[in-house]
Amino acid sequence: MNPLSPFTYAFRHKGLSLVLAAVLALTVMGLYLFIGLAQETYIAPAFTINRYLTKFSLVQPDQVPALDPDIAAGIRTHPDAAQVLPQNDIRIKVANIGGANIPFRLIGLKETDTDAVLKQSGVSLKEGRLPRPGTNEVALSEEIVAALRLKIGETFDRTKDEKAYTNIVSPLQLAGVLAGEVRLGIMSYDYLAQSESYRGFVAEGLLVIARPGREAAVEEYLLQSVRSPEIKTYTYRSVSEQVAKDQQLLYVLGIPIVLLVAAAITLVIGAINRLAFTRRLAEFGTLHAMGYRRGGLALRLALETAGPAVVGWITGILLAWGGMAAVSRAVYAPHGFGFESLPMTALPFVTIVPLMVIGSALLTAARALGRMDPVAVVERGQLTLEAEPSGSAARRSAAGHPRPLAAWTYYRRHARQGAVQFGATLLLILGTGLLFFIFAAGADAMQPGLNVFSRVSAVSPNKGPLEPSLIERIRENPAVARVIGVYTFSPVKISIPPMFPNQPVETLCVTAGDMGYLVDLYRLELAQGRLPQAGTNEVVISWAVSKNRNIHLGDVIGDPEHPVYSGAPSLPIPIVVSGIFAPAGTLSKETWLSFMSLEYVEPYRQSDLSLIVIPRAGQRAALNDWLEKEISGEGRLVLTHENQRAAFQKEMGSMLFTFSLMECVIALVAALTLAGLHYLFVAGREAELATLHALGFTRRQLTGRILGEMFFTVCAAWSAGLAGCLAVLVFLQYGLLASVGLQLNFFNPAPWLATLPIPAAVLAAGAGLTAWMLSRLDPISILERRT
Amino acid sequence: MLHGENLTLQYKDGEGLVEALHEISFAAEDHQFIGILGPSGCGKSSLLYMLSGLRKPTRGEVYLDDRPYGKMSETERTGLRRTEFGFVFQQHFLINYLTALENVMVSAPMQDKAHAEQAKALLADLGLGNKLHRFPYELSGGERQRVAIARAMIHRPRVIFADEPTGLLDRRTGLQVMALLRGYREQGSLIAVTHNPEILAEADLIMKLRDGQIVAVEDRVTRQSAARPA
Repeated sequence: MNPLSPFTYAFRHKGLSLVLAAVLALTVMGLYLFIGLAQETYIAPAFTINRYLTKFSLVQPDQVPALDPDIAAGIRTHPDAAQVLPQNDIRIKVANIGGANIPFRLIGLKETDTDAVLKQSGVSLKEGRLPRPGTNEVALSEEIVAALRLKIGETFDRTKDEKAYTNIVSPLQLAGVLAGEVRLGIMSYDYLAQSESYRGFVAEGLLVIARPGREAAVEEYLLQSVRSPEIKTYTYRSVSEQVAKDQQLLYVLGIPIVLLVAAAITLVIGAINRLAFTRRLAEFGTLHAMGYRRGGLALRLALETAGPAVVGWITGILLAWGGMAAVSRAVYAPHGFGFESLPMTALPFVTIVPLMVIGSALLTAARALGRMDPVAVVERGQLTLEAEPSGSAARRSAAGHPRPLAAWTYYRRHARQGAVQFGATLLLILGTGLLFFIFAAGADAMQPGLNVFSRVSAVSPNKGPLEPSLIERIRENPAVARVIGVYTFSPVKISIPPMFPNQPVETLCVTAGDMGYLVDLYRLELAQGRLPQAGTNEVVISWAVSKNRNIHLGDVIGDPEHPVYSGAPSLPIPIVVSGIFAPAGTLSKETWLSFMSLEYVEPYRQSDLSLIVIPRAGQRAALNDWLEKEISGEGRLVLTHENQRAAFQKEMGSMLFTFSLMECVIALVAALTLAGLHYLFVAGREAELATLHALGFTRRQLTGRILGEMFFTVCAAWSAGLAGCLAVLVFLQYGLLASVGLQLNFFNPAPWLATLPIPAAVLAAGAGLTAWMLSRLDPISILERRT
Repeated sequence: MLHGENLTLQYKDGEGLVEALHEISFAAEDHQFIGILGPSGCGKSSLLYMLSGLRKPTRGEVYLDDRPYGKMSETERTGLRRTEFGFVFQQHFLINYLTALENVMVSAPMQDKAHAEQAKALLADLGLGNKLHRFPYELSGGERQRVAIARAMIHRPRVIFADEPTGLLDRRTGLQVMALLRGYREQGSLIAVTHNPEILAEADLIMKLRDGQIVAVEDRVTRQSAARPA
């Protein structure tokens, strides 16, 4: 047995090794769960739900009524295509656990083709029956059924859930439940093709099944030779490319958080190592005096850290896997998004932690041993925890009015310890708070989208056009100043970096008279150009949209050949920017309002006329109340500032809640680690505390003093954290958002609250640990032991 | 002023009970110097800890001005050490990261400028006027013990307890330290525990302890008559 092996040390110092391994295990578990759950919540569902595209591909016309017959014939006769079937589809949205909606196709198939598609997909009927031809029946995979909380025989349409079933204009009925390798939703091709209600909502196309082993060739052919501005091809690769962008966002957000937490943990473990090393100075002095080289000793020290670090890393990963499997079974599976396999995305992230810890241990050991004077160590014997400050500096700091028991005095004499506590707390505050600031900045930046409703309310049809009698009723209400008929559509999507890359911006299509009225109502001023002329394809856009997408006067929006920005949606007839509004200046007044001519849009419209209802002065609350009570109901939606804000807050709150749950794991680990570090520091001061108690300081006073010191570092770290977060906000505003025409709200208190859990938890845990430790303090045994 | 009645201290040692002190009674008056003399392990430090309220007796009671410790809370007893008592240990038990002046200020009733001046004067009286801002590890053993004595005196306690105050010092330094402690008699009492009879030469009363029991009590008269040749 090698007495100097790191294993010998670990076995004889089980407590210290366990502390190191436990800190690493908790950190790795926390980070793994954070990244893994983010992956499974926001990224994996998009892959999972579209996995049917690994079995077949889809080709559909874009902004044209049908596929070019030559191209369709080319696909049908392609040598690598085993079957090419007619299909149509309509999309619903399935909410993931985080509250985000993922589009999912209900594919319309002819009765004769259904079996082939099911067989190809590895899917079979589990319950109920397959959709009968020409009926509104649907068969869905069991996971989708769970996510939508449907039962066989139930019907669903947009009145049941406006977000999930936006395109389901007339009820569909769940007839059967499918089970198998991929998630599928199928219905009758004929029903979708023939239904009057679904005209304009259904996409017609081809479903392409490749010959076995030729899937890649077919995918390549569809993406390279068939895809064009007028033809959309949906293959697994194209979906993966889209999802990969979201994956990148996860990396962009995840890496700084992981690095901050890893740096904090490295600091903490470095401090624990330094405490242990200080107590072992005599051992190393003796070994060096006996002829062991400094390099070898440094390596031995680093290996003593590496062992527990690797054990902690493996334990952390195993704990995280266990946790994720449990979460998948208990939370995700009942919502249809159970994990198909344990995510490995987090593995490289959490591997950073032990590497940083081991690297830092090696550097610290090499530095400390490099400075070690073995003669001094052997002559002096083992040194205490208290490092001896250089005389002059210490005396200088000792001059002046003495406050020996002040926190400031303690930390002035223990600068390194203070720096570790301060640094680790600061890094963890930033690590846990950062995401909330980025999220809140994005949510703030969306406020102009809601500001539209600050002056008006709206009534929108969701099941056929609004009845004329209803419109008349609204018009006659004494609280109503004006009612404006409007078509809305979203020719442009605004990008709010880094979290919300595609937020729809609605264009209001109104008559020239109403447009002038609304421009006055919102006090909009043209910065460039003019308002759209009646009956033309002109559009006036907001300054924010213009800046966000770099759209200028005269630019054409919706041209599939020349998209106005990368990824811009194409339109049946492109529109031209005739004017750009000036910015409002303040976030609360800013809107993204954009207008077009109602007369021009009418022939291309895909929805029924909505109403903008303008209240008389001072009557907004009364009008909204009346609209909510009297007008809202089946077939129509009432949109007011209050209910739109509430819906927005609910959506954001749902995302925030998911973030909070994920961040909780890190916060818990952080609080435990910091409180543990604090405990180690306090435990090293037992002689001091025993002396003070013998001198007449009560346990409560001593607890108060230790807490005062803790409060001092935590408050300093929190203040620095606030400054850091403010710097992040300034960067987000002036480095990211301002350049794309967006603003955040510096006075939004919500993200600042996210900086509180770490200090509060550390203080609470520290107070508990200190009080517990001091309640067990036996001054006599300590004084006698020392004597 | 301070007295103990029938003080007994027992503690568990393995499966059995050890009686460290047995039925000790004790009384100290103002401005008295009382020495407790005995070999190592006879229970003299334990007696000191009981008298100062740091340890509770298994039986018996300690009174300060007829107030029994048993009826005081731990906070009250701790408060006595802050206001009424001073402590000098065998080891200095100075706080390593505080300077000499700051260590003394730890026991000052207020950490204000007036007390800082008082602490400086006290340290100067003890010969440390030029070492106010030295840390304990920059002082010799005797100097450290003098700082500890200043710390015990700064709040003008009624009683100073000294536990082997010269135990780690050479003879000459030890005698100097005892001279300083004896000097406090003008302001309060001194109760010193030691195994070295030499440092108790000036004590008003010496209690001799052996195996947890008082085996002799000698006052000045007794000692002088015993010392006189027959």
